[in-house]
Amino acid sequence: MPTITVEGVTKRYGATVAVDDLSFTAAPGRITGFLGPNGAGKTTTLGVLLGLVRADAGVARINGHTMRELADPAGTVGALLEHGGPHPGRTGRNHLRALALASGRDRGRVETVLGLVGLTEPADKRVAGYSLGMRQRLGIAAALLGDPQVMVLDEPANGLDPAGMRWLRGLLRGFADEGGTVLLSSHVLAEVAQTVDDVVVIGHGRCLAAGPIGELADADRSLEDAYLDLTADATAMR
Amino acid sequence: MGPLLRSETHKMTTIRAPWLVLGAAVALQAAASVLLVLGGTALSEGLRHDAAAQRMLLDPGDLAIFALVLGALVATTDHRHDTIVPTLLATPRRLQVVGAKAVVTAGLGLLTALAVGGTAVTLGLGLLALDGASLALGAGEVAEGWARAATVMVACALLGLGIGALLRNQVAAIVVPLVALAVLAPLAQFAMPDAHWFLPTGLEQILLERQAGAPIGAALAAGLLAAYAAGAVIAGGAVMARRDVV
Repeated sequence: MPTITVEGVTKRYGATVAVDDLSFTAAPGRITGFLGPNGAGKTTTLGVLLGLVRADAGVARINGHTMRELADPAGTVGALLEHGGPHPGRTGRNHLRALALASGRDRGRVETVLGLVGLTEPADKRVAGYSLGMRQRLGIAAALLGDPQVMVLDEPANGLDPAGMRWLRGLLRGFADEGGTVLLSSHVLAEVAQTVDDVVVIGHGRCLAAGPIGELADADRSLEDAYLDLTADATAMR
Repeated sequence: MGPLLRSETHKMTTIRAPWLVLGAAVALQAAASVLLVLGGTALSEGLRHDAAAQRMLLDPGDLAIFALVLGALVATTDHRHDTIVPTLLATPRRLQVVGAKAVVTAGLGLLTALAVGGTAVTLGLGLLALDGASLALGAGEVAEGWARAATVMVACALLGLGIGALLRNQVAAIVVPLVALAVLAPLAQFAMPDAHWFLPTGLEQILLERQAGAPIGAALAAGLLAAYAAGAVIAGGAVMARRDVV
């Protein structure tokens, strides 16, 4: 049974249709890549899923519930979005502490996730002094804070060096292998190809393809080729 | 609500801006107290024996704008730095977030009144003692003056929160009330001498007893100011509950 269910979601901004009757699912124990060109509606869809954006039609559910219906949101879903991060004047530890307080997690959990992402040492420095990669790690720590069943990540590899990307890949694979659900939006197709089990490709807010990555890409046809073929129209019209 | 209150309190106490605003209010109050005593004016002379003059010294100054700025910071800091996203991911029920912010804001208004009032009383009594003056005011009168100022500051902080939630932009949420205070309020007083009492600035004047001729008493003024504050918070909360944040 899928953990993430997006059913007929439509979102308009004035005359612009950002997401157009979009439906897809993401299953537990698997990493689902969520792909599409800039402006395809990925961030808006993730916003609808996470209760940050109101859909004009359709519904997005996690474990059968909308985000606002979840009894323990942080324990159900952890998310990292491009929009949204720590206050630059706050320390990394205090950023996580504020989120932990809101979700009823203790200081011990803050230290655990700081250790998981390798930020224990600089945790008392202000975030303004963090590199982009450190900020990403802090965002991932925030997503892991509630020990969630589902992770929704928007461009999580941004700013990570090769070692960081390998670390992230291992983290997500371990999370999925333990039964977690991962929905991963990224433009780094080579990284996606190494990481995901399933893919959902969207263009102009519509689903262009969805299924196991093996159905889209194989030894003769890379994920990049398949993706560019699928999104040629969407890219050409930009 | 408890965990969310602790979270919102932690957020405001772990950044510099609220402390700077509070520090500026205390510094201004201290400067006003010192100038009042050392100013060499008739009022300075009156401080030695006149209860009304001493009340000017010991009552917190009209510094509600600082409380209003603090309220605006509570509402807009999350938007300015996009920390609203992790906030709403941890607590998707937005009205709970607004409620927690309102309680924290009221607390900040009270803290401002305590800090400013404490500065006024401590410095005022100290300066009077240095001058060899005897206190012509009772403790009850001093407490009443503080209570009136505290009411104004809590209400103004909540007004700031509501305005901030409506506007979202931090600069606008601070500048708009400042312009209203500096330009629109005097204009209203000039153009609508009877009606201006019922605007927030007029109600503040009634509560702080800064002008004579008020058509209503302090209790009703406090109630009306509270209604303005509640209206602003409800309007800001309603907008925040429906607004897309990415």
